[in-house]
Amino acid sequence: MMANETANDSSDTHEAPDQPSWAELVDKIRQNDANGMEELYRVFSRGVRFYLCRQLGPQDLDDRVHDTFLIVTQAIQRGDLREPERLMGYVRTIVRRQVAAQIETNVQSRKHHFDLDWGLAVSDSGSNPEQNAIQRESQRIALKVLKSIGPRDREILIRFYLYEQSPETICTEMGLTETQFRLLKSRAKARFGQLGKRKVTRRLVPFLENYWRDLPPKG
Amino acid sequence: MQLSGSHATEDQLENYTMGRLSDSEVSELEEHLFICPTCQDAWAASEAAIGHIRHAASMYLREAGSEARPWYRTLFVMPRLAGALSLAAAALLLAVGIQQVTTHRSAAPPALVMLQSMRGPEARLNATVAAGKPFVLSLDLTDLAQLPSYRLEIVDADGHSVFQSSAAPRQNRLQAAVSRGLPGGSYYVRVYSSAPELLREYELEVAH
Repeated sequence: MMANETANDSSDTHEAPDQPSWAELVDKIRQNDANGMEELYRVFSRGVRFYLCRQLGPQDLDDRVHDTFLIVTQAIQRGDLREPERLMGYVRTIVRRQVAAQIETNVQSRKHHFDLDWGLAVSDSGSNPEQNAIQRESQRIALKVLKSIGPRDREILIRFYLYEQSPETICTEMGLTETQFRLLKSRAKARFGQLGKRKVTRRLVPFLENYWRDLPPKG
Repeated sequence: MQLSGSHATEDQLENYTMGRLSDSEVSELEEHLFICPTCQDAWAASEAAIGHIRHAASMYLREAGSEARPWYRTLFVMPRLAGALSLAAAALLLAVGIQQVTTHRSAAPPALVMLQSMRGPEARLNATVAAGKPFVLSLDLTDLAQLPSYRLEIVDADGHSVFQSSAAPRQNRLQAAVSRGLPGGSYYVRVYSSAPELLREYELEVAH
């Protein structure tokens, strides 16, 4: 019980999202209502964009979001969506197809890229030097944090997150009950996060100041 | 899967990131993520935390494996003995030293390299391994056709094949051990069906 309460703490303080009536929204879009289009695009501009960015990276993100939006609205206006209440399920299907198609395109183009000209530039993942520097520093701090927590907590984190052992296996091999495992994992992860926050704040600000100071001047 | 209080719990987001949810649970959660900025932020934070923990754990184990006592120190532990006894003792110590080398070289655990289908800085961070060191690939098979086995191939930046293997999936991931390590450079890990049809490709960076 307590483990569940601990695990749920982070989400309970925020209000539930405003969920429009999907059937009404689909109706508006079928009638080419501008408000309906705007409402649907609001969902795309945040949620779908977020999902596409996580799956495919930031390259061409605006175009992908827009293409997906067009596919969905045109499908709605053609009457392809038979269950309006399942609008988000339909959106998800379209988005996942877009992701799969883009991955396939990337794989095929890279395969042919090797055949044509090895001198062609490989597409950038989108991260800039500052982000890379921050990421490296965060990882260095994360390692320090991991070393500073207790050995049992560390073992649980390694078994669960790195080796992806099941909770049952971990409980059996470490002699823990399920409740003990959930509590210890939650505590270990939370301590890791708290320590990381303090260390990142203490170390990252001076690090960033030094980073900007050492950058070569522009021009 | 029921979303607690109309939000995903930390456990649900964590299980989603680690591929532990069923297809129907993934479907329900992803539809919710499309419309809930709170859960989007929580998911991003969970994913980043898991990435940091995994990377830190991998580095920790690598360091722990390289801290074995150097083999040459055993030669100077015992006191010197005169004449034949000294020679016999030195021979014995040399034999022990050779055994320590063999044990030390095989004791260091291989690095675990996890390759995700998503893109972004977190994916690249976990897709780096040291040159010449053995490592274990763990590939995310999310959204791939479910097959009983897959073929794996690693190609270098020029497209030359440097490693081939086949494996059966486990918990939506594919694992393969690369026992000899690779020289520094950029590589691509390719997953094929048995046809063979190229299904997916991942980036892998081997640090010099």
